[in-house]
Amino acid sequence: MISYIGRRILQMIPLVFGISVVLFAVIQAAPGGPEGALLESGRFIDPQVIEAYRQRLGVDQPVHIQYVRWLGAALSGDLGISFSTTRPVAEMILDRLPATVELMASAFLLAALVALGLGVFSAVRQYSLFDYLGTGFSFVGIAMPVFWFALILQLIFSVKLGWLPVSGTETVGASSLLDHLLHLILPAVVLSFRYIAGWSRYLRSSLLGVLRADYVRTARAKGLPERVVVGIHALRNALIPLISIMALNMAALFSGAVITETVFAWPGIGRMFVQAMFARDYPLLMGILMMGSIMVVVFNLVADILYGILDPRIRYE
Amino acid sequence: MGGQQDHERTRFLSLTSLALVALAGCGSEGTGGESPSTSGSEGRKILRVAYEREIDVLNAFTSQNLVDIAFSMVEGLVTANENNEYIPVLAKEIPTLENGLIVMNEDGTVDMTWHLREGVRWHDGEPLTSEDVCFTWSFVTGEGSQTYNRHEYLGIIDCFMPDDLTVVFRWDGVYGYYAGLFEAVLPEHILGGKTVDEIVNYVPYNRGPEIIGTGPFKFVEWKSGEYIRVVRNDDYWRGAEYPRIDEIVWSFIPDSNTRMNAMTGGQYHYGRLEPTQVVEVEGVEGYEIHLVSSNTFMHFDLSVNLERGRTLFSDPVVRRAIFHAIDRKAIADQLMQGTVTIADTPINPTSPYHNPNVFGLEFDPPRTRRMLDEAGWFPGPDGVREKGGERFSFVMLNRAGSADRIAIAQVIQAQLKEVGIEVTFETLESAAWTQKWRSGEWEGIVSAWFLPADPSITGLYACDGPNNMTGLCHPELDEAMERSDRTFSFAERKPLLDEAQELLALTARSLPIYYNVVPELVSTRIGNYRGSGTNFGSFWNLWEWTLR
Amino acid sequence: MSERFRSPVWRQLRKHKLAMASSVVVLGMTVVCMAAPLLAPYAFDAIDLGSIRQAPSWEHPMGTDDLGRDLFTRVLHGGRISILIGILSAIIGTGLGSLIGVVAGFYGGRVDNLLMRLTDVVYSIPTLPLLIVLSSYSQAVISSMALIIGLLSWMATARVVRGEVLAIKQVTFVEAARSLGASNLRLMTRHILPNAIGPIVVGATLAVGNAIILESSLSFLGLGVQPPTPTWGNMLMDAQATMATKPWLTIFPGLAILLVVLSVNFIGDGLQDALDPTARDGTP
Repeated sequence: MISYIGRRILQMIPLVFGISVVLFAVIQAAPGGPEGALLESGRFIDPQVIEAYRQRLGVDQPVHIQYVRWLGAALSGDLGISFSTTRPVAEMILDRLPATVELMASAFLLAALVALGLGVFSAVRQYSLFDYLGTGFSFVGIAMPVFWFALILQLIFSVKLGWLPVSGTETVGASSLLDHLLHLILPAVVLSFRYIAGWSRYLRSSLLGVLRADYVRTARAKGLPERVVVGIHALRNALIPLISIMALNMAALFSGAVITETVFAWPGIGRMFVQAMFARDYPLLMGILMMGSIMVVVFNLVADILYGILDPRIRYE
Repeated sequence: MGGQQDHERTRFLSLTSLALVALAGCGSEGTGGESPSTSGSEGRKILRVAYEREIDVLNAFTSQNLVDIAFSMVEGLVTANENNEYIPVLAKEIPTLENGLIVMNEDGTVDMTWHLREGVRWHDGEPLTSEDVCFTWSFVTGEGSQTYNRHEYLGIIDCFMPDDLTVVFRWDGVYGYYAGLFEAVLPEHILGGKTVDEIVNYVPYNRGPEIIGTGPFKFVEWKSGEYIRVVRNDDYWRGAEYPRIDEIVWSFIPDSNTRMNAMTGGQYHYGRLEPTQVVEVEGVEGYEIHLVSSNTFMHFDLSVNLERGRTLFSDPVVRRAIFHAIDRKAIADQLMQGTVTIADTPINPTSPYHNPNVFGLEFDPPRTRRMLDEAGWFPGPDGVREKGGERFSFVMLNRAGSADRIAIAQVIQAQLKEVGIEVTFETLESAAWTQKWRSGEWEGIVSAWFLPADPSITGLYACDGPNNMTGLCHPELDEAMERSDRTFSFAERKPLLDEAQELLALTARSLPIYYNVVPELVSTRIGNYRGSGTNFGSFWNLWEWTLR
Repeated sequence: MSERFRSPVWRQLRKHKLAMASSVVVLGMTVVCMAAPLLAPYAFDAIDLGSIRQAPSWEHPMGTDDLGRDLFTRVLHGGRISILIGILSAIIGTGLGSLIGVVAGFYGGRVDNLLMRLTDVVYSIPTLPLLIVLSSYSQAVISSMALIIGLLSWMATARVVRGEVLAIKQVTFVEAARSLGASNLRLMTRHILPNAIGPIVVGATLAVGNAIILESSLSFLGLGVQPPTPTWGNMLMDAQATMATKPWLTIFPGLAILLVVLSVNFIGDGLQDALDPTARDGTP
């Protein structure tokens, strides 16, 4: 098992390396170069920051040399200096990362819980009214633009009903755990909505498959109650493939966080990304893209390991 | 000389502002429009502000944003009130020739004496002295200080300190804008001994915790992406009863609709909105909307820098014909829902320098058609006018995401189509847009400009003006504008600027569309709010605000 | 060969009532929107400042927008652009994905390894942020928007197609064709690709919906297709400020997106069921 995990971690390295190559190329493709675009915009920027940026990458050198320099610095935790704030990019990202992780984790858990309930129920009561309604409802999550859904919820639950706050993470000066959770509800619901359909549909169909499998029939034949059959035997096996589906959605979850954080003024790296985009702060953009991708890779790793632990058919040799 | 493309640097706001209470909250809609609770856990009075951006740094001189957050902590020699008058803060009075604090020397230099208030202390207990003021001068004028109006300070060639509470500036000549400088003072005992670059990049001052001032509030914390929190300065020089609020939380909410929903949802006491949102918040219980007019004006420009622009727009008659086809009244009354007033000149009507007799650029499409016919542009087979094989078609450069400007551009496009002129759009994201605008390589543009406190318009319209991107040039206009810059006297300056404003319209230099307003939604729990559109904003008198 | 493979799918799909109804909706809306220049009662950029933000009436069945333009006309034209972006980017994305998947699966070995690692890499980068950066490099017009979205949405198709190809490669008819001397190209285009068409179609269907949603997200940030050209996304974005007081401005384009993307997903779901007989119902 340990060696399996170790191998998965080793496989991560070339992947992260590949990601950094692609992202570096994308950022360097900015018209006029990352620092040129900003300089020529006439926007006020500290010439020393630009000079330091040029020195650091060695802009007269060929692109691959620049990349190697960037990589060398990045490996030692130095992601460069932000054009717009002149602060270290790594520091800015670390300031904001917890809020994004919290939001994504809450949305993930929420979506997983709802999808689980919906999936199990609609598999057991296949073709029931609940099956149809649940499916219809969850599909709406896929089909609604995130920002539109967010604004509708704001209008209903904050402006009309006055139940939930619209923005931020706390009422400063009167904050408490409850206050924080109230602030978290709308963004988490909005971010989670999109994944419920996919996950619950997947769970439903794999549950249906598992329920037909021999060992479930055996369990039934042994006279175990249906609740035990579904809950213990079938669900465990149906959940295993769902884990990899969930992992595949992590990149999309981060994308969703960009919009969600912007609409709810949530202080994460997603909103910082939008600000950095409009400021043409390329070192910061690069840093956030890199961090977002690494989060996705790590989530996938965790999913892989979970998969390995849960699925008895996998051998770790 | 300044002036700014708005959003890029929203610093130079006008001296001409008009706060107008449009409507008092009286609606009975079932909204949750309760003002937020004013008290924190221990019954403290906490003012909650929905702020429209996350600022860059707290140093009032190097910030590229509006600095009203910094001004709650940091004070200067002067501030500007809601009537757009400069009033002394740390200075006892503003020097003038009349009060004898301005002395003209024989060699043409000018000495200006500022007496500082007694008993003013920095937040750390150190006394404020003339040394701090001269230190501020040496920082601002230092190479690389990044101060947006550094050039205005360069006229000061020396700074003397006769005693702890007296400062004398020696100027190399006469500059009308002297009273608006030193809007902040830097603490010498914190920043002294550092180079200009070190100060610019000194994080403890830029982002706290070493940001100290003499103002009514003290820095507590800056939570990245979320808020800045300041608390009452118990040792404030105006007396123990001030300020009358215990704490201010400036929450960053850049998205205007989120900001509006957060305000109407009752989370905040104060927030700036967009003009088009005004009707949305009418009748929200517990709030009043104030339309604060600023010296920003929206305008439509044509450039002759490119080949096609030269062919189409070189003739002032053709430019005027184009302007006559645009219905500015409909833009102001319908599109902007009557929140703004039509502009005929760049200088706001509330300024004494505004010329009300400027030759009108009224909406008159038949006249446009006649003028274009006379200029030899006749409708072609597709309805677009032609002359010598050239179609009357040009490209409007739009900035992505600027909803108001893009809406205006679309109106102009539709109205020019009516008179046989084709307009196509090129839309660029903000930075690329600014770059292209600065290069002058565009044909038509709708943009907004902040005029400085001083009514000088030279930088924007002179042939070699740093912000004249049109390629248009009129020597007679240049002369009037330049002479208006070099005098202390209103009586001399006024006729020169009147002439300049008339010439601008006569030469169809640019089409002013409307003077902008900033709607501010303010909780009725707030007392002593006096909305102002200067660069000090409506927060200039925070020390006396109250909160029920 | 492919006939035999496809027809049961069609029969299955016809049983899936929701998918059939959805197909009718999508087809109907696509046809109507594509014919917008013929059907729309007004010009999409006909500004009338005298009648802005009017509620729905006989004259303007969906009301008017903030420049007094007929909303019904704008919804039709907007749908044309939105659906066009959806279809174009789906074609680009699935085309690229199929190509990569087929090549990787067919050649195997190092080619496969390289292409699949590339797929992993692009898969790990969050699409929207990358899209935001790329779309700031060029003017936001329909073609560039479709191209960029397409270029960032091929990965799922590539993976699925590769899997299908690996499975089909083992099947005897491919072996037979190879032994008869068919060239690689011929093998891929004539024998393998048609048999992998099922998952490709499913992927393409879902991609149309995804692209429409992505365009609306870009519009929200001001980086989508620019006015006066309407898309459902930028119409929704323009209506943000007035959602509470002028709901029709947001409801019509919003419902249009909802309806099309929902239908497209139901179709995808139905196709998936039809292609995967094991998941069809409770009995094997």
